This record gives sequence, structure tokens and C-alpha cells, in this order.
Amino acid sequence: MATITRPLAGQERAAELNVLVRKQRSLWQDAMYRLVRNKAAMVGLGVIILAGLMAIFAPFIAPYSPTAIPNAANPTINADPFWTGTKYVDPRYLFGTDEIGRDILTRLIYSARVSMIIGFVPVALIFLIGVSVGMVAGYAGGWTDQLLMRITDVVYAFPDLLFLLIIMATLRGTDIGKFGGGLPLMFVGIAIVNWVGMARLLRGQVLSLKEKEFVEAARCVGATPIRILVRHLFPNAIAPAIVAVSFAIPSAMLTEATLSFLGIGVIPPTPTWGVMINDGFVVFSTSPWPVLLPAFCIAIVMLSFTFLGDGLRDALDPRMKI
Amino acid sequence: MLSYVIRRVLLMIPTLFFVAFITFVLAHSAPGSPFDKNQNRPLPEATIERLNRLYGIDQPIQNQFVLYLNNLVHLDLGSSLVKDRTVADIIGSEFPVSAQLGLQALFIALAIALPLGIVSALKQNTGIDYASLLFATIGTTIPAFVIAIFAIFLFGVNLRWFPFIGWGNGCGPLPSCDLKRMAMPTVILSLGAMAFLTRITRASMLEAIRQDYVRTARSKGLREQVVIVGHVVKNAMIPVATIIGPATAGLITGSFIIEWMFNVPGLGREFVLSINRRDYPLIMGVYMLYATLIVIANLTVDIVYGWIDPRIKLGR
Amino acid sequence: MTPRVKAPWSLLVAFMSIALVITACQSQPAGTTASQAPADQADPNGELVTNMGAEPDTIDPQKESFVQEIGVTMKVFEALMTPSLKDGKPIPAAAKDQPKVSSDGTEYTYTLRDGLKFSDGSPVTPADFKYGWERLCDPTTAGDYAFTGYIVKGCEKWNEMDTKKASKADLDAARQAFLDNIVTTNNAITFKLTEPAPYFNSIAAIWVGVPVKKAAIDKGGDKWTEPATFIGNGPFKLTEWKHNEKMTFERNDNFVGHDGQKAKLKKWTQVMINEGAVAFAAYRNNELDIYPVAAEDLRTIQGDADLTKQTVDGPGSCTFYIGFNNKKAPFTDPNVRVAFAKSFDRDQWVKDIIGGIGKPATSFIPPGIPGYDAEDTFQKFDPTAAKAALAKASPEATAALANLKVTYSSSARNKTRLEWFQQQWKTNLGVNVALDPVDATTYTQLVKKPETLPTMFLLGWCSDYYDQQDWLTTVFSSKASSARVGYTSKQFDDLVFAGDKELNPQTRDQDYQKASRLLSQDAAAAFIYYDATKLLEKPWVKNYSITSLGFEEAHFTDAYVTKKP
Repeated sequence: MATITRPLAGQERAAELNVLVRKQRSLWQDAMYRLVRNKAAMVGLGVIILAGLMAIFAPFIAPYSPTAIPNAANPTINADPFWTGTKYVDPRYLFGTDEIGRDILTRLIYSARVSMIIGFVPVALIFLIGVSVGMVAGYAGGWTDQLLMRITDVVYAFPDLLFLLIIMATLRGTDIGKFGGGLPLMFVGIAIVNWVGMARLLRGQVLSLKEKEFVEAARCVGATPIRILVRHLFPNAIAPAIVAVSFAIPSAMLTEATLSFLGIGVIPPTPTWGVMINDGFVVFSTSPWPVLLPAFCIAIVMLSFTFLGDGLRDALDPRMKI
Repeated sequence: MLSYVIRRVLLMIPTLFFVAFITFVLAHSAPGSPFDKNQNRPLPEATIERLNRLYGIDQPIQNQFVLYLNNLVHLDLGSSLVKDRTVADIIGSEFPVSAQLGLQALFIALAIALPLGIVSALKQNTGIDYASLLFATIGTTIPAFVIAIFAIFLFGVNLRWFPFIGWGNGCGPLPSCDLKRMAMPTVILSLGAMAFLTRITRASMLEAIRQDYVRTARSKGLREQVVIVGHVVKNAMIPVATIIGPATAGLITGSFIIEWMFNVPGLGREFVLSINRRDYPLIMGVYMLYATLIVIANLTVDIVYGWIDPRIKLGR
Repeated sequence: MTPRVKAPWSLLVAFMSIALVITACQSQPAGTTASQAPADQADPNGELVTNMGAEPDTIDPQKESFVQEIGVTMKVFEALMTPSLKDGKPIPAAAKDQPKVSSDGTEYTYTLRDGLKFSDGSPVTPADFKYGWERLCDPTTAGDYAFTGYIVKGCEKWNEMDTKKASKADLDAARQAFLDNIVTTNNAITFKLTEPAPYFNSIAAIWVGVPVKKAAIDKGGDKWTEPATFIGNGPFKLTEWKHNEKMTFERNDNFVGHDGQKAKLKKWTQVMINEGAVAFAAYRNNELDIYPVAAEDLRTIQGDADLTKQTVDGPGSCTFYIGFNNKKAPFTDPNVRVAFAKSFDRDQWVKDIIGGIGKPATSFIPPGIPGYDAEDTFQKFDPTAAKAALAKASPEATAALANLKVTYSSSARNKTRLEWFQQQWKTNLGVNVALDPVDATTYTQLVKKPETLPTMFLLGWCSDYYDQQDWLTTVFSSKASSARVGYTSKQFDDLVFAGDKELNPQTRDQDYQKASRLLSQDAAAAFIYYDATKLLEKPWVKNYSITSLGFEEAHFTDAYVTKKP
């Protein structure tokens, strides 16, 4: 990482004194230090890593197949979780079974996969599109900026969830939609409606940074615009984007859950927590657990991301809003 | 200022044109027809062809779009393809419900979020602060539909405190309000916004407290209450005020899942239904209305911002 | 349908929750109605609250096609005839008596009862009935069920005209030609049919030809179905329609039924709850008086003594089957079709897969519809016979068994159901069938056209009116209105077309019975089960139960509620 704080003349002495007291840290190391000391953020990170491992190793942990019904000829439907102690508990299925006899524990574990993927892939897309558009617009200015900003205006005008509803409901039945169980369609959908915020954020950052001395200096020594963008502006503008990402991930997961709950999300039988809540809602009067368990998973993961996001924000820029 | 507003208003036109274009193409690219109503008793092919002809959906899509725009300019939103009503009629009877639901939710959200945010900032790092932060965090992490499911069974079926289907008689004169019936959908819709607003209020309060003018006010010997109310809160409200527009638009356009769960006869629920039934004119009508709302909300943010905080220069 | 995209099976569930079904005496325990204890007395101001599921798209009698829409029409209007609650055969309603039929069977004359009035007090005339038929066949109405009117001379020709291309003169001529075939006097109406059609009397008992007031329609224009102008001659009048929330009906005091009865309910409210789970919750919260049970609710009901007591069983209205594309190998070979038809255990299916809400089916026409044949058990589960039939199959057909797949509308529930079949076919026939899930809308498209019809698929058929013709001729004859299975049989066609025209009821039933048995033996499709309705009824609801058409029908005068505790 490039060092971004160039000590000003007046501060040089102070910096030297600092060196005497403790080792000089870059802003990034500093942020890392603050983040690690934030307990809530670390707990959040721990849960996220755990969920990630669960997603990756699902086939090894889960007792059954997530889509097939164990013992399909004579399925055990609506078994209760073992802690309820009712007569519907079936020791073969610790967390019970759903209304068609699939093992709930297995489906919870596999659902982490979709949620994690939905959290990361579209957000990576958002990051990629938003950061490039925002930085180019901010740095180039002029008509490039005008054009790109008009495009963001259009996208900004879309009621985003409703637009996703249209995309999912209409394209799900086509070949594009069916590809990969509907996941790629959802990635693109979520990215399309959400990159604008990121772009505007980055544009603002670049606009304020590009007049700074270190950029001017880089320009003076003949750095190309690309080099300035990548080597100088990017590392300095990126902090708020990282915080934004940490909040975009849970919001993408929530979007997936909502769409799946309405029955227009991921194509069955792929399990996701939203799909499971949808399935469980039908039998809710019989047992609340098929709704409660996936809802609990969603809440825990979302909470973890929020904690991590808060921690990141405090660590990177304590004065940042939200 | 005026020329800026005019320019922004004019820019709304191409913006909305592109929204209409993209939505129109997407909606029509879906397989299936509005007349595929029932799998077990499908309509004869000849009947469907006749219906397609009658409603002009046998035409090439570009012709349909031009026709749609032409009608739109004349403020004709067309007729629903599956319902025996015009789109304007449907919007006219159902938008007020969504709007009322959204505004009520906004009101509740503000009524709770502002005091909570202010108090938690003033008592930073105390129990109150942590409690309200936790509340604000949980409010954004549990999906509204999950809360709705539990509320229905807990407060509806088990405790019998609230009825939970429909919207009652709406609210003309206040005594006729079916407040009990509105309670659950309104409160649950408000939770997300409430949490968000609490966080914003707290953050901007903390920011304001640290400002030099607050120190100046204190050193002038002003009473603490005067400092807080007159300087800190007043300035901390600027960012809060600016997001009220988008928050309202968000609440109104995003209430579909609450309307769905509680059978509120609003436009959001209608929209969800119309998408699956390929009711193109209704999809377009609702969507364009909501896009317009959002564009206006975004515009007001910029204008209000410039008006409240004169340091911000308008125009890009 | 609802946004939780429905597949045919789940569509059925949606259907059931939509199907707001009404009273009949048949399933009431005899004691309940006989004992007239004060607690059983009808509350003269009684209100019944039921759920209609989704909001009706239209309640225009000449446009509508969905059960909950038809339920509205049947409350607000009275047709000439009405299906008897006993056997579904048409009995007089607005008509004084059974129709007079000309000797060649092509002219039906109905005489109206004296003193019939619309809810606004104006008299009901034969011209109002005629206007209803005119709207049904009018191409500008574009009603979904216009084809039921095609049996009247001139209707088909006028209805099929292209209103945008045809000249006004041509349209007017076609209209006039049609209208000339419905003759009215001051108290009678005569229909001239294209051919003898005994089932016409059943069509006269459904919603399509109810009398509508021209003055009200002209006044209301596009919005005539709003309460102010939605004026009918039935037991109830629509007094409030809060779109997407509820409809309220009140007793029509200008109505007197054929049996001299008026509606016993003062008020009938139908709310629009789209989620079954929410409707069930609302029932338990006393916000609904009736709730159609889904298989998922059974455990809750069994665990609750009160709910168990409130359960009422009733007939269904649909038959579900595995469709074979009779024009595609291996199902071109009847032996293969027979083998598949006999290869799965219907009793186990009903018990395990649909939670007992339904009945195993070995023939097409379900109980409650004329022509139901309990003795037709050719398709019953018999793995030995199934294997034997498969052994007789031609080499080409046997070869085609290798890559067989069954197409269905994708949903978790359907998948379970098809996996069950997969298992059965594997065990009982030794055939591996692959699963081919497709999106719900795509599925509807595929099964509609003969060119795209999948090799094997799941489908159902539900009754429009009480007649074998609506089942056998409409679905499996070469004149079928939509592609179903590609079954063609000269022998079957001859039998059903003879039945359609046959004037002697006994001979007619025999023709249809032969046709129906032939259908089972040819195994044009493998019938799986007849659906059924299980209702929860609050104890204060009396005389409310279910008929076999799935939607509400006349006799709204019977249901009542006692004073609620």
C-alpha cells in the first residue's frame, strides 16, 4: 500500500518525535489496529468466517442432501426439532423436517452458500462498476462526467426493489434466467440497481482529492492519468467504499430473502433462507421452527455484517456518517 | 437557484423516458401472456389470439412502445389487461392507501427515531446509547416479512390484540379510523426506517456536538439546554431533514411486502400481482408513478439541502 | 395467480382457497339441521365472512372465468336453471319449469316465473336474458367463456369476427343473424341451437347467460360492475366493493327463490386474503367464518379438539392425471400407456402425498358430476398386470423407454410429487423416468399446443357445468378446445358425439359411459386422483357446505348463521 499521509513541513518534528515513541504506522495499519480492538466487529467477523466455512464445507457437514427427500417413498414430514420434545420429534432429523420431508438442518447449512454468494458476488460487481464509473467521472470531469452522471440519474430514478421484482419475475422463465438456478440473474439484477450509490460516493471522493498536492505532484513528475487513478487516487478514495461494501452485503442478502419469500427469487429446489421462510410460512400454524430457524440465521449473519461495517467505519474514518 | 431548479426539472423528462423504455422492454420480454390464466382450464388458442389482437399485443414491441408513450403524453395510462378496470382507476383507488400507509409509517419512525437518536448521542457510550444502537441494528437486520409473520401469530392469533387483515375504512374523519387494523402494518413498515433514522440522527448529533460553534456557545455561558436545542439539535437536523424525502419515497414504494402480508389494498400488492400476470399496462403505470415519485424526492433533497445549508453551492 | 408462482398442484391449493364454496345439505349431519334448538335459529341480521383469495379480475358475468368471480355472479344473479344440489342436474331457477324442447332437439324454450324483479325493483324480462346472451357472443365483450355460447346458432360466427378488420355492416349483419336465433315473447325465451344438445340445459344453469340490465350497463359504462350499477336478480346485491380488500353483499329483498325462499343471511362479506397461512390465522382469530384446509394444516387441526370438530368434508371439482403424449413414442403404444396407468399406488398417493384430501381416481369424471363411474376400475394399481402390459409393448416403444422424462411446473412441492412417481415407476415397472422441471408460465405454454406437448406431464381438469360433455368431448375428443394429450380414437369420437346429440337421457348416459370406459382402457391418460375440499366452519355457520363445481352456485338462500357467542 502506498503511504498516503505525507507529513507536512510543520508536522515533521512531531512525526519524528512519534517515531521515537512508537513505530510509525500507516493509516491502514492504524485502521487495522483499531478494528481488531473492536470486539463487536471481531465477533461479527468470526460469525461471517464461520458461515463462510459452513458454506464451503456444506457437503461434508450436512447429514442429508439439501434437495432430495430422505426416504422419499415414506417421508417424515413436519418433524419437530429435538429440543421441542413433542411426539413429532424424529431423532434422525435434529432440526426437524419441512412440509415435504427434507431435513431442515441440511437445508440451513446449504442455504449459507447462496446467502454468502449473494452477499459477495453482486457486491463485488457493485464495487467494480461503481468504483470505475465514479473515479473516471470524478477525474475526467467535463462531458464524460456529465454523461456518466446522467446515466446514474436514470438508474437512481428506478424504484430498485420493484425493478428487481420485474427483472426476476419476467426473466426467470427465460434461458437467461434459468441459467445457474437463477443466481447469475439475481447477481446482475442486484448490481444494476445498486452500483449508483457507490459511483456517486467515489466521484465525490475523487473530486475532492484530485486538487490535493500529492496528485498535483504525481502529475508534475509525468504520471499518466491511469497511473494517477490507480496508484494515487484509488488507495486514498477507497476507505468509504469499503465501509459502503460492508453495508451493501447484508442489504443484498436481505433483497434475496425478500424475493425468495415472494417466490420469485432463486429457483427451487436450491435452498436459501428466504426460500425456507417461504416454505415454513405455509406450516407456521403447525410449528414456528421452519420459519424461526432460517430467520435466525439471516438475522445473525446480517447482524454480524452490520457490526463489522460499524467497526470498519470507526476504524477507517471515525467521523464518517451512519 | 431558479435556473438550477428548472434545469433539473427538465432533466426529469429524459430520465423518465429511459425508465419507461427499459421497463417496457423488460416487462414485454417475459414469456407468457396475460391471458394464460389457468393451467387446468386454458383458454382456446383462438380466444387468446383474438384477445391479443383486441389489446394490440400482437403488434411489434416498438410500435407498442410508441403507442404507449403517445398515450402517456396524453395522460392515458390505458386499461388493465386482466382486470376489468383502467390503470388510472386502479391507481386512483389504491395509491392513496399506499401513500397513507407510508406517511403514517414515516411519522411513527420520526417520532421514535429522533428522540432516540438525540438521547443516545447525548448519552454516548452509556446503557441508553447501547440499547438504542442495538435496537437500530436489529431493526435493519430482521426482514420485515419475518417480523410480520410473528406479529400476526403473536398479536393477532394468540393475544387477539389486533385484527390483521385489510385496511378498514381508511381515514376520512379521524374517529372513523380503524386504528387497530392499521397498527400492525404501519408499525412494522416503520421499523426499518426507524432504525436507519436513529443511526443518522445519532451520527449527525455526535458530529454537531464536536463543532467549534458549540464550544463557542458554551464558552459564552449559554445554558446547556439552550446549547443543545438551539445549536446542536438544530444543526444536526440538516442531514436528517434532507433524507426525509427519499425515506418517504422509499416507504411508499417499498411497502409491497407489508401490504402483501396484511392484505392492505395498496398499490404495492397490486404491482406484485400484476407482474406475475403479465399485466403490462398496470406494471408500467405503477412503475412510472413510483419512478416519478423517486425523481421528485431526489430533486427535493438537492434543493432543500441548498436552501437549509447556504454553504452548499448548487449546480454541477 | 399469486406472485408466489403457482404450479398446477399448488395452483390447486390456491384454487381451493379461492373456491369459496357454499351450502348443501348433503354433508351436514342430519341431527344438526333437524334439531331446531334456539341456538340453531338463524340470526335475521346474520353476517357470514368468507375469503375469496385474490380479487376478482372482473365480475362481469359475460367476461369472467375464475371461481371467485363466478361466485359473485351466482350470488347476485339468478340464471334460468340451477344445478340441483342432489345430483347436479339442472332444475328451474328463474324459469318456471324445465324447458320445452322441440322434437328435433334444437329449440329450447324457457318460460320465466311471474313477478321476477331486479334488486332495484324493476321487472326481469326475457329481453334481459337475451341481452346477457348478446353480450356473451359479442366479440367486443371478449369474454373468456364465449365459447360456451357457440351452441346457439350464429354465436360462433359473430364472436370470431375481427372487430378491427371487419366492416361495421358485416358485424351488424352477424349480430342480427345471431339475435334472430333467440326469440323472446313477454314471458318466454327460445334458443335455436346449431344441433341437438341436451347439455344446453346445463349451460343455461351457469353464469354465462344471466340477465343483465341494459340501462344499468349503459349508465355505468366501463364501471358498471361497481355496486351502483351492478344490478342483478339474485338473492344478494353487491353493496360495497373495496378493491383488493373486500366485497360486501346484502340480502336482496326483491328476490324470491323458486322455492319461495329469500336469503337467510342479512350480509355476506368476502375478504381477499392471498396467503393461505394468513387466512388460517384469520379464521382462528374469528375474522373468517370459513377456511378451506390445506394438507399442511392437518396436524394443527388434529392437535386441536375445537378445530377437529369444525372440520367438514366436501367434494372437489377436478380430476388430476398424468398426461401421455399419445402421438409420441413410447406412448403411441397403448400397452405402454396401460402399463404406466396401472403402475402406481393411488391409495398411498392420497394418504402420503396429498394428506388424504382427495380420492384415488381410476376414471376421468369425478364423483358429483353426472357420469361418474365407480365401477370403472381398469386403471387400478396392479404391478403384475402393469409389467405384463409393458412386456407386450412394441420394440420401438420399448426402446423409447430408455430416455423418458416427465415435464412439470417447477416447484418444491411438485418435485416431491414427481419424485414419488419416479420411485413408483422404478419399483413397479423397472423404468427410469427423468424429471424435467420448467417454469410455471412456460409449462402452461407447452401443454397448450400439440406441437410442444411434452411426452409426459401433469395436468388437471375442472368442471364448468354438470355434464359429461364438458369432460369427455371438451377434453379428449378430436373437437377438444385445447390440446390435452393428442388422443385420437374414432370409436371414442363416435360415442361422445352421439352422446352430445342424444335426446334420450338413458341412451345418452350409456354412450358417455362407454366412451369413458374406453378412455380408461385406452389409457389416454393415467388418472391419479379427484380433489376434495375440507373446510373449517365456525360453529355458528349452518347449512353451508360444498358442491362439485368448485365455485358457489345458486341456493344461497340456505346458508345462515346463528347468533355468535
